[in-house]
Formats: sequence, C-alpha cells, structure tokens
Amino acid sequence: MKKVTKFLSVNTSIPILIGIMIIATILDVSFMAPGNLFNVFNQNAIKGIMAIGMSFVILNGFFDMSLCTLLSLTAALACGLQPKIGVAGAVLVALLVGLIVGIINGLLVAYVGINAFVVTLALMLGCRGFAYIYPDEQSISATSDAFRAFGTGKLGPLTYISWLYIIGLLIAHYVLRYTSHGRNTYAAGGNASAAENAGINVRKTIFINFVICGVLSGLGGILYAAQNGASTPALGWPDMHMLVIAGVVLGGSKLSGGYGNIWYSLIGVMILGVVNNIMSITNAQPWVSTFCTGAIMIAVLIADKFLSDARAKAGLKN
Amino acid sequence: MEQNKKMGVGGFLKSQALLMVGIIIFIIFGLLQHSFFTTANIVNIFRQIAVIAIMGAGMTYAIIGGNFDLSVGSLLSLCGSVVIVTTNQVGQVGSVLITILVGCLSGVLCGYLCGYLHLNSMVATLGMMNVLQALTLMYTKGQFVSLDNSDLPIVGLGQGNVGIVPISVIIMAIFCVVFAIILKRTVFGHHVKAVGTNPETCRYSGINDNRIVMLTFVISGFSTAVAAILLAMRGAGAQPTMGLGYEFDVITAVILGGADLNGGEGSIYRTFVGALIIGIMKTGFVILGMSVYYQYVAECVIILLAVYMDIRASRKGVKK
Amino acid sequence: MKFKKLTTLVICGAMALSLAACGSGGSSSSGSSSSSASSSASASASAKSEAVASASASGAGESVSSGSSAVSESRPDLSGKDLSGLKLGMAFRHGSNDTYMTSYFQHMKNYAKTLGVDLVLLDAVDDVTKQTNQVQDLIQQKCSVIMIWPVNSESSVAQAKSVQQAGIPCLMCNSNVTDDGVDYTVGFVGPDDYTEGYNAAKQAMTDLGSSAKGAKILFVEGVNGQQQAQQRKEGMQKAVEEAGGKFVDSQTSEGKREKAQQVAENWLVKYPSKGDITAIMTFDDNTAVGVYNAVKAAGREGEFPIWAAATGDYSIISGYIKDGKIAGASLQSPITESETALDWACWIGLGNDLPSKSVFIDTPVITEQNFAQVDQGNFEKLI
Repeated sequence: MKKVTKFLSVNTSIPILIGIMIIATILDVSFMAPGNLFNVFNQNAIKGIMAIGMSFVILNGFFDMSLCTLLSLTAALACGLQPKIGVAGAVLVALLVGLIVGIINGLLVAYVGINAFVVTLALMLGCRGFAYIYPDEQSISATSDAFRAFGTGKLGPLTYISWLYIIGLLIAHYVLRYTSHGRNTYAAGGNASAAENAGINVRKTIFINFVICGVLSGLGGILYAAQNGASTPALGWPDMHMLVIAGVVLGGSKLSGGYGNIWYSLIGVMILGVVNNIMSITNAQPWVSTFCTGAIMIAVLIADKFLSDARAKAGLKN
Repeated sequence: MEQNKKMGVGGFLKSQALLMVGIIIFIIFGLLQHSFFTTANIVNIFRQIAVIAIMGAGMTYAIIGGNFDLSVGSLLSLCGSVVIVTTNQVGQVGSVLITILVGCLSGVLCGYLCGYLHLNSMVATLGMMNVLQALTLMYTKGQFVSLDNSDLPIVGLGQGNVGIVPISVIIMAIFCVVFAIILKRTVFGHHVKAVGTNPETCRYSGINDNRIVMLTFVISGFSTAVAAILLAMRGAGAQPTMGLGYEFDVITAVILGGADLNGGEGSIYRTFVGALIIGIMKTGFVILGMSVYYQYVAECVIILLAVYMDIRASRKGVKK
Repeated sequence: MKFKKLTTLVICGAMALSLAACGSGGSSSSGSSSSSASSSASASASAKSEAVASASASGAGESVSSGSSAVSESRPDLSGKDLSGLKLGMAFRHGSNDTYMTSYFQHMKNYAKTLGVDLVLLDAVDDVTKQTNQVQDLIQQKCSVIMIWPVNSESSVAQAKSVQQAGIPCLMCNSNVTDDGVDYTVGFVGPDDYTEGYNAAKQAMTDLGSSAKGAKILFVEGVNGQQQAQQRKEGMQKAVEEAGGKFVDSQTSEGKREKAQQVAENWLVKYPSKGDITAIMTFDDNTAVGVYNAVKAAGREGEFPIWAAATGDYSIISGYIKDGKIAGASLQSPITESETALDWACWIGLGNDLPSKSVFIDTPVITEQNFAQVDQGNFEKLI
C-alpha cells in the first residue's frame, strides 16, 4: 500500500488521468468500450511520437517550437516527391529535412549560444514559408498505395503507427535510462554548469537532443501524410508544437529540465486525447472542447504545483 | 546618456543596425516596384503595423519581466468581438471601457497564474489562449459580428485620418512613447527589469516581484484590448478567429527588437522597429505579387542574423 | 500532508467534473434557444419551395445562365418515414470561422431536432488531424451514415475509405473528396463551386461591357490548399479569360476579412490610378467586404466593381449587394444546403441511394437588380 501511495505521489499525472477517465465513463459508458480505448491510443500515436522527441529536448531544459511547421514541410515532401523518386526516396528526403532542421537548431542553440526560443521560432517561420512555397500553396495527394496503406493499416487492435509509437517509447526509455547520453541529458538539464564541471560534454548532449527532436518531428509529418493520404500546408499550424509541449509537461516533466521520464509524455498526451474523445462522444458544443483543454492545462499545472510542493515539504521532514 | 555621446556616428549606426536593416529592405522593395516609395504606401505600412506595434509594446513588458504571453492572439479575437457587440448594445464610450476591462481582467488572471502561483508562463498562457478562444465562440456563437451603424465616430479609430495620418497611427505613436517613458523613466519600469533579471534578489530588496509580474501581464492585456478596438473598427466588424496566430507576429516583433527572452532587457523602440520590418515585408511581397509566404523565410533569416550579430558584438565587448 | 494531497485531487476532479457538466448543459441550453429562433424557418422544411431559384430564373433574364440546373436542389420525400432509429454523424470543417459555416452548423443541429433524428455533429476547427480523429470517433459510435464536410479534400480520401471499410455509407457535404476517393463515398451534396465562380465572373464580365476585353482583374484567394477556394478561383479565371480579361494579381487572404482588407490596401497602392484595375474578385463574400472597406477608405469607391464568387450571409447581401457596394455573387443558402444534406443523409440511412453521385444545390447569381427576390428565410441570422 505504501509503495502504491509513493508511486502515485511521484507520478501525479496518473491519478489525474484516471480521474478524467472516470469522469468520461460517468458521462458516457461507451467511453470504456475496449474499441474506444484503442481508438484513443491510435488517434494520439503520432502526437506521442513527436512528444518522445520533445521529451528529450525538454529534459535537457529547452523546447522546440519549430515542430509545428516542420511537420507540414516533411508531409509535403513525402507526398510531393513520391512520383519522382519513389516512396522510399521521398520518405528519406523528408526525414533528411527533419534531420537538417534539427541540426540547425542544435548548432545554433548549443554551439552558437542563441536562445532556444528564438532559434526554434525562427525555424518555425522558415519551415512555414517552405511548407507553402514548395507545394505551391496547394495540398498534395500521396500516390503510393503502400504509403497510404501503412498510414491506415492495423495489426490487431492497434494501427501500425501505434506499434511504431510503442517501439519508440521502449527505445527512448532504454536510451534515457541505460545509456550515457540519457544520463548526460538529465545532468545537463538539471544543472548545466555542474554537468560541465563533471566532465560532461553539455553542448554535444544538447545538440544530439535537438537532432532527435527534429528527426521525430519530421517523422510525425510523414506519418500524418500517410494517415491522411495527403499533405496540406496548414497541417500543424498554429499550435501543434504547443499541444506536444503541453502533453509532455502535463505528464509531469519539468520545462526547466532535469526532471521527468518518457512515460510522463505518454500520460500527458493521453490526457489531452481523452478530453478530445469525451467531447466527441458527448457531442458537446465546439467551444466546450477548447475551453476544457485550456482549463485542464491550467488545472493540471496548479494541481502539480501543490502536489510537488507537498512532496518537497514531506521530503524535508524525512 | 554619457555613453551615447561617446559613441559618435559609427557607434550610433551600429546601435541602429536593426533600423538600417529595415531601411535596406525598404529600399530593395522600392527599387523593384516604384509605387513602394509613395506617401500612400508609407502611410499604408504604418497603418498596418499599428496593431502589432501596440500589442508588441505590451508584450515587451511581459518578456522583460521574464514571461511569455501566448494568450494575446485569442484575447485579440475576444476583445474585437466584445467591442463590436457592446457598441451595438451600450454605446461607444461604454464599449471601449468594457473592452479594456476585459483585456485587463484577462491580464490579471494570467498574471495571477504566472506571478503569484509561479506556473510556467508558456503552458499557463497557452491554457488561457484556449479558454479565451472558447469564450469568444461562446460569446459570438461563432458568428461574424458587425456594427449596426458603421457611421459612428468610434469607427474613426480604425478608419479615420487626421490630414493624411491615420488616427490608428497616432494612437500607436502615443502608446509607444508613453510605454517607453514608463519603462525607462519610472520606478515601476526599473522594477520590471530587475524582476526579469533576478526575482530572488528583488524579493530580498523589498520589491513585490509577484505584483510586478502580474502588472506586466495586465499591461499586455490592456494593450491587446486597445489593439483589438483599432482592428475591429478598421473593418467595422470582427471574425471570431480574427486573432489566430497573431501572438507569433507579436513575439517575432519583440524578438527582432532584441529583447532578452530570459527577461531583464528590451526596449519599446526596438520592438517598434521590429514591427516595422514585419510590416514592410508584408506589404512588399504583396506589392511585388509574390507569395506572402516568402515573408516567413525572410523573417527566419533576419531574426537569426540579427541575433547572431548581437551575440558577436557582445562577445567582442567582453574581450575588450 | 496526505490530507492536502487528497483535497487537491478532489478539487481538481470537481473542477473537471463541473467543466464537463457545464459543457453538456451549455450545449443543450444554447441549442434549444437557437432552435426556437429558427424553427419558424424550418417548420415547412421538407416541402420548402425554392423561392430563390424560381424567382431568379424568371426575374433576371440577363443574369442566370446556370449550368447546374440538371439536378438542382432535389430533395427526397421523407414524409411518413420513421427516422427515430437513425443516428447520423457529421465531421464538420469549422463551426465558427465565418457566418456561412456557423449558420450551416447551427441550422443542421436544429433541423435534426425538427426531423427527430439523432445527430452527432463534431467540429474540426479547420484541423485535418483533428478531423481524421473525429471520423474515427464517429465510426466507433456506430453511426448509420457519416457525413463529412472536409477540411481538406485530398485528406478525405483516407477518411472516406475508413468509413467505407467500417461498412458505413459516407456522404460528402459542401466540398467533395478528390476524384480518387469518390468510389469510397455514396455521393456528394452541396454547391458546385466551379460553376458558382464561373457564373459570377461571367456575369461580371458581361456587366463590364466593352472594358471586358483586356480587363485587369485582381483576385483574392481563400485558404490555400482547400478545394472549394481553388475551384471557385478556377471557375472565375476561366470566365474572365473567355471574355478576354486576365488575372493580373492573385493573393491569399487565408479566408479572413481583415487579411483581405490588408491585401486590397496594398494593391490600391500598387495600382494608384483609375483604369489600373478593372475589377476585384474574391473567393467569398466575407473577404469581399474586406476589399470594399479598403476601397472605401482609399476614396476609390465606384471606380471598379467588386465581385464575390459566392455569398451566403444575409447581412452582407442586404448591406452590400443590395446597394451595389459589392456588385454581385452566386447565391448559396446555408439553410437550404444543410437541410438538403441532412434530408439525403436520412434517405441514405433508410437504405436508399442518391439519385446521382453529385446532388448540387441551386446557386443563381444575384446582383443589385434581382436582390429583391432573395428569400430572407433562407438566411436566418442566428444571433
């Protein structure tokens, strides 16, 4: 019992998620149908994949705003290049663009020392420009059937994309927990100068994390293109990066860095996903969904603050 | 002041690098399309940046205080709808007062969350952004709202001119000057900078840092309300999604102006120049008949270059 | 400490609960209030006469050369049918962007109540990814027919396919899916956007008379990447070019009135003298008002006409088209369109087929001359 309470007091987001799910069930029993629960997971898998990349950057004490338009750019490339260089080539080029954006972010933040908000906001604007200019401001349909089949196909109750997400979570867990890069990330996020003094290459750590985030954001765009069978220049604009960051933070990771883990991002993304799903099931007025998303973000932040204050005090007593 | 005199002409030009960039861009557009140099166009550019410059002035305070205010875009939509509907219902003076009250209340709420509860300003104001958007939809039922009588004097705020100068530009000028003076010359202004630099120290030296942060958000909300009145009156109506994405234009202007995003530094004048550059490009690409989306690529490059130059300059300064 | 934790959790839960409760409460109350407002309009719903269509056809010989009369606005006969068992789902594009979409959205809800069918109406707020999720939600809820007003016609292919795979008929509304997705749907109900643009521009060029040849037209685009905006543009461009005119400039407004106003302000600077602009055309009425505001502010009213591809907002029709501030547009009623779509969805839910793959509503061109024949009941203002 003690173990359970301790677990819950560390993972404050789990009781919040459970609470929201109970409320959902009260509002409409069909929420708890297994089909619907898998449905919620499938719906949010792509956001989750991007939240993995964002988690690395946030654990490192930064965040990446460029995600929201980078994904529409990679989606456009993945669809638009298919007739010319084939699916594999198109996906590779799109991933490469994600990689390049990640590298630029990483170089400018880690090695030039520009504020991460400025850098990633600038690249967000840049990517938005190219996301409209490349496809000539139009939507592009994916021509490859295999590409589209991957986006919508299922293995068991979960889509291929969901399986990809689960694999991604496991890999990310391994990297954060058991590799030196993971430990360096926590150290650099907790206290950069102390980490530097301890001989950790902080700049390299930051650089790698931004690259991871860039690649996974690019992958997110490709997966959206596969799921929708098309790209549109407005994909992700204006707040996808905010939803992903909010997902990571709602789960319990600290935006100041150094605290959190990959499972928090899973829970945070699912909190937002469940809220959207309830709104669909109860057929609420459109503004209700927006209102609840906002109010829950604030409520979770407040709840988390009080819970962690309490935790800190309890810690002092012990 | 002393330092300014010592800098000389070269130093002055260096300190005005951003303005120079703006002028160069202006000249390039002008060479490509001659109608760009006309008075009509210059008036046009200023009229179009009024909203961003006013909101930017408020946002500069929030950022100097060490916080972001992402809620301003939605607040712009809400205040725009409020001013139109209340003008129809209670008259012009009342509507302006109510709108400004709404803006300030939203600022108080954001300020309470970020100042007193010390929540992360990015996620908290993102939450507020959603809440305000929802309130806008609830208030307008998602409809476009327009003035019953578009000949009222209040419409002049958005559409009228004094001579050739639009009234909205005059309001923008007054706004920026007053805000700049408050920031530079008053105790409050110094406290904002101090809190942005180091809240802990401020608390120990007797400054109520919570209250200062809250006030910066109130200022941001207030200026957004004023901007919303001008924007709504320009079209004598308001679309519930009017302000969507405006927060990024505003933050871009502040960043171009070189404000320190960790807090503590920034100037209203430079934010204004940042807004001016955005305005020149917005107008320029349309007049050249190019896709407006090139503007985003240009903004990306200019921001990175400006910040890079800034960093190089400050490193050189340290070496000396 | 434990006590504090518990209270926080309880407070948090209570907050969320009250939010959700206020949410559903709000929806029902606002729904009922607006339904009373417009029930008068929809009382005679199933037997509604096409006042506009017939009036404009007889009254304005010079105006309508409609190509869409073949299957115009036919509605199924639902009288005497039991609709109570039907559960319809609709994935809507944006319930609050402009008056047309809002009127459609709200009226659809009210009309469903009038018919007595269960309608789940979800708003994607112009977000493709959200719409894809909502289509999945509707499939989960086992709707008997799913209607989609697509955020993006290309992306709807995958959405329609998943609906079809779930064994549910998928009806496209307002904007059709792109050609390679048509086989996944049972059909389309809505306006013919290309013809709307074509007819409006053709009328505009006729009205220009001798200056139609070599006309310099400026065009304000809608949201980029959207089929509706694209088709209206193509329709207008075709008619303009047939009459010997040309689009000299074309710029996006992102579907917003104030952006359209800014674009027009910039153009008025670029083309400073009389004769530089023959006409300004816009993809919809909302942006046309923005253009008019800019033209009025620059003191160049009356120099050239402003045409919109389509209009569906009575305040704009009565406030701008009536006195020629906006020269004209194809008329598209949100009330007629939403009722037609819901009627056919019920018809399909009862196991029938559409009479043809595409059912177009009638969209005659209206101008200052034939304004009087517009039936205001088709444009109920909901505020």
